[in-house]
Amino acid sequence: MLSLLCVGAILVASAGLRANADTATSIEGLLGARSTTFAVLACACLVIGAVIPWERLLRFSMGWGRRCGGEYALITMAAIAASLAYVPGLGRTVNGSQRWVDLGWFSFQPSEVAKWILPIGLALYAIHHGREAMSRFKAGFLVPIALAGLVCLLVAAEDLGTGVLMAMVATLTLVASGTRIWHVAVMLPIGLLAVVGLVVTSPYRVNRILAYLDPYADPQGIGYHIIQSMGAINGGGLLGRGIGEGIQKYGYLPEATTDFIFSVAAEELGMAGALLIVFLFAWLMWSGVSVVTSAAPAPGTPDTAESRFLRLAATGIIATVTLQVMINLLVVTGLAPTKGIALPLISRGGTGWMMTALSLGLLVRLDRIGGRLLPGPTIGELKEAAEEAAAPEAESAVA
Amino acid sequence: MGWLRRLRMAHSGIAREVAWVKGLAIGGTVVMAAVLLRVAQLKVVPSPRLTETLGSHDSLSTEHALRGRILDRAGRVLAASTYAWTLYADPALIVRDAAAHAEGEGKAPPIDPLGDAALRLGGALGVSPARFAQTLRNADEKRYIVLDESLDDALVDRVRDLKIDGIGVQLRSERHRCDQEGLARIVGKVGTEQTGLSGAERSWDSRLQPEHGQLRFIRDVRRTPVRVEAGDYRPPEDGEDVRLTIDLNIQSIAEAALEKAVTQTNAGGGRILVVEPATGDILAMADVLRRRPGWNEAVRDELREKDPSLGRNRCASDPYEPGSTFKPFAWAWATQEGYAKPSETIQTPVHGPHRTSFGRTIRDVKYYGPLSWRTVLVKSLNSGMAIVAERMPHAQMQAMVEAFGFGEPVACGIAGETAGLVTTPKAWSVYTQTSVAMGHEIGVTPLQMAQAFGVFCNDGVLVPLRLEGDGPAVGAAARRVPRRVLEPGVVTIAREAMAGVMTEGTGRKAQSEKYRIFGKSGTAQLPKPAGQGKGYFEDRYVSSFIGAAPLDQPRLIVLCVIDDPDKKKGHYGGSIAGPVVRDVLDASLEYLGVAPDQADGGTKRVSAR
Repeated sequence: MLSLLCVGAILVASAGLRANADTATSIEGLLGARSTTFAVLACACLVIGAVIPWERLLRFSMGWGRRCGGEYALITMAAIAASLAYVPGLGRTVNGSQRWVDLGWFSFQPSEVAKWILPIGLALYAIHHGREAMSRFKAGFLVPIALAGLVCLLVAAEDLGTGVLMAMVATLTLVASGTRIWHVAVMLPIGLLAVVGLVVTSPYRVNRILAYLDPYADPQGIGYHIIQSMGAINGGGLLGRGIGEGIQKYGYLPEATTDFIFSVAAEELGMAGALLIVFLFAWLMWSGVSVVTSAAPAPGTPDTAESRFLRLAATGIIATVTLQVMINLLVVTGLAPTKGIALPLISRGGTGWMMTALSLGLLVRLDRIGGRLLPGPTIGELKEAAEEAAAPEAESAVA
Repeated sequence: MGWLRRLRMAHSGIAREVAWVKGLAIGGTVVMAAVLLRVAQLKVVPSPRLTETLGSHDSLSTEHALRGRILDRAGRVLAASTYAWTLYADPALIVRDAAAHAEGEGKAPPIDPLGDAALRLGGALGVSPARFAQTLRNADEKRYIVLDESLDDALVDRVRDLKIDGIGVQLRSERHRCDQEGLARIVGKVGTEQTGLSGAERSWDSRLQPEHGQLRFIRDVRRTPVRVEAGDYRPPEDGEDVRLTIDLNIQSIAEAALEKAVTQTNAGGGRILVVEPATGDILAMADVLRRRPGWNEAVRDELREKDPSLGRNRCASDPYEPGSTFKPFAWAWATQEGYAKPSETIQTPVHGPHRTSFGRTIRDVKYYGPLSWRTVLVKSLNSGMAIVAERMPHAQMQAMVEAFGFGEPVACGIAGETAGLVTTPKAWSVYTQTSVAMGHEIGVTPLQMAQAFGVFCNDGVLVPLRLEGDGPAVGAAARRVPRRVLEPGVVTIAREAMAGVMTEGTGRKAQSEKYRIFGKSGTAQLPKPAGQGKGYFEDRYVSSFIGAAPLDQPRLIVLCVIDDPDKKKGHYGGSIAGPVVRDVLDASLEYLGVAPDQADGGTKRVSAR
């Protein structure tokens, strides 16, 4: 992950290089760049993420959840975050979409926050209800899907790509936690219908589909992004033009430092750059898988609630990162319709990098303490403990 | 399939979690592999439509270089290029920009943007704006109008400072030629694209062409230059100078002398050629064509009337019948091949014309009775030439014509050169045999004539003519090598006989007081132009004279051809063209610093000063 961040910082700096005669390119300039600062901050977030006792969230929500239900609280937080963008005075319109929240001194994309909260919330929900309940229709499917669907819809209205991504992650997390596949399969048409509805109601999404089907029909209009992206990948040949030497970033390829950064990397670093990025992501993905797998208890040994919570949350996080990478790569290479989805940890981003790093910290945490969690309390024991802790309070309240 | 089944089987449990997370990673890996394949495909075999649609992201800018100069043999400039500025306008852009400007300032669009632009332009250049306004308004739909072509650098800066969109200045190069009528056709002309159209400009175009500098730069989407890749800059390189063999001074001397003679004799035209025999250098070349009734029907050059530099160079293009000036070649060849000895008495007729063996009547101007073979040349007797010609096989006469280079172009780089007219061996008759011996039934160009005459100056060696010393001209054959045509002994005898022409023959009126000239006069009837019947005019002539001096070491050959002189002023080559040759030889040799060799004439002249 550190390597990815470094590559990201350098690539953003490179893609951000413009013919600006006033600023000379230097190591100091690169180190002082905004993206470098954020990369360092993101590393810090990774460390913080690795130190935060995420598993405590479970115990905490148990105690807290007596009154209002911790898992619902988290999901509600995600929903609130997602709807922040619509609050008049806070929401800021960028590129025709209300995706940003402007707090004056700080602005961020609420969907970025919601994206990470939702899988953790769903993991909490799954633990609370237990594996048995998850296989039932109402508790295991209808309620969580409805909640997640609400959040996703809130996001999707302004940012379809992220919304669909979140829906996919949510579904995957639920299925992994015990929801029956055929329940999901029944839900699929409805979800698809919602996506189609959102596509059809906004002309630019229709155009993106058309552009994907035949980008050359309107090379200056709807097909422009995809053609310029493929052009960037094509440029530079197998060896690449050399770092900083790319041409497409000079106004030809829009969003060169964000969504289309992979194309710029392929142009400047050639096949090697593309291989490096894809390899690093594959490595990250499989590392995540191995963390989850090795934290799982051996057959026959009892599972524990805390371990299971971290594993489910980690699954959601891996899914988020992986799906995002997959969608982005497919889009920039012209294999999927254009979606405004960035390449995690590489595309220029402030909060995005930090949130991703923080979430990945959970994986590190799981890796570090996964073994120690196993001889721990089960969900039933946890619930009892929580009830005991809450009982005196309840008595005093009665008194 | 195994993992799929496990996925279903692991209905509830840890295995299910792990299976899903692994399934996700496998899916991710597949997608990533697909993406890498796609990247490779885009890099190695992109769709042609992609490359086509992308277009290029670089621009070329040109740095001007100047066309090479054309110099004379002494390095004097005959033609050269300079930079110049063109002031141009795009009226539509002026109107649009003015409207956009007003809109930006929140004002109403201007009523007369073109008038405003003209006013500002006039103010900047210090001239009346009325002319500009007029031109701009009359532009119709044109997007490029030239307003002025004579701006200097200071004015160019002022125009640029105006910053009017739609008015700009453009660098161009301009060709200037030495303003001398005769040079026009030698130097030639360049077209609007600065490529040679005629003359030396065309013949040596590839060497004169400059190599414009080129800068290929990568630009961003707003067309702002971003950077230059290594090797994408080629500095401008001016074209090479071409040094002609022409001598500007001798050219002036020759032109003046020719002009004078043509005017005095009221001739239709005239041609003059000055050649340095040792090198084959053409030092001067001029031709005059006058507008005169009865003449223009025969010879016209419509291009020349439009532009003197576009006309044909008649010294190279128009063959003429050399008449008696051709006799020395046949005479020398017959002598060398032993068909007659200089001292041998030839039975030329006493009274009346000579009749050949096949019954042709050959007339002379005067009948002297039997004379020596040398005197036949000195007195230019047609009968004597015919008698000896009949002794020669036809092949011998044809070999002579070929050896002296007739019937093939001189190929010295003059565009439009012709090969002259020589009867083919198949059509060669007994008439041809006797005619050619006296310079009839053959067409030669002045260039061929002067080149062949060089044999008498170079001890029998033919040195090919040239107009430029260093390299081959465009389209010209590789420079031919000098070749021996006559034995030195024969040359000495022929030269002595031609010196006799000046003292005792037809060239007496062309005698110089300073230099001992040898030469030969010629008078041929003017052929009727197409459409006026066959044959020749009875009383219209082409008078010519070819001579060289000094006698012992010839430095210059001068050939003068006067086309259709007024018969009232005379028509014999010796009296019409001879004095021109003498005057040009005198003046040119003196200019070259050649010591006079006339026994007393030179000293007389010197003491007279």
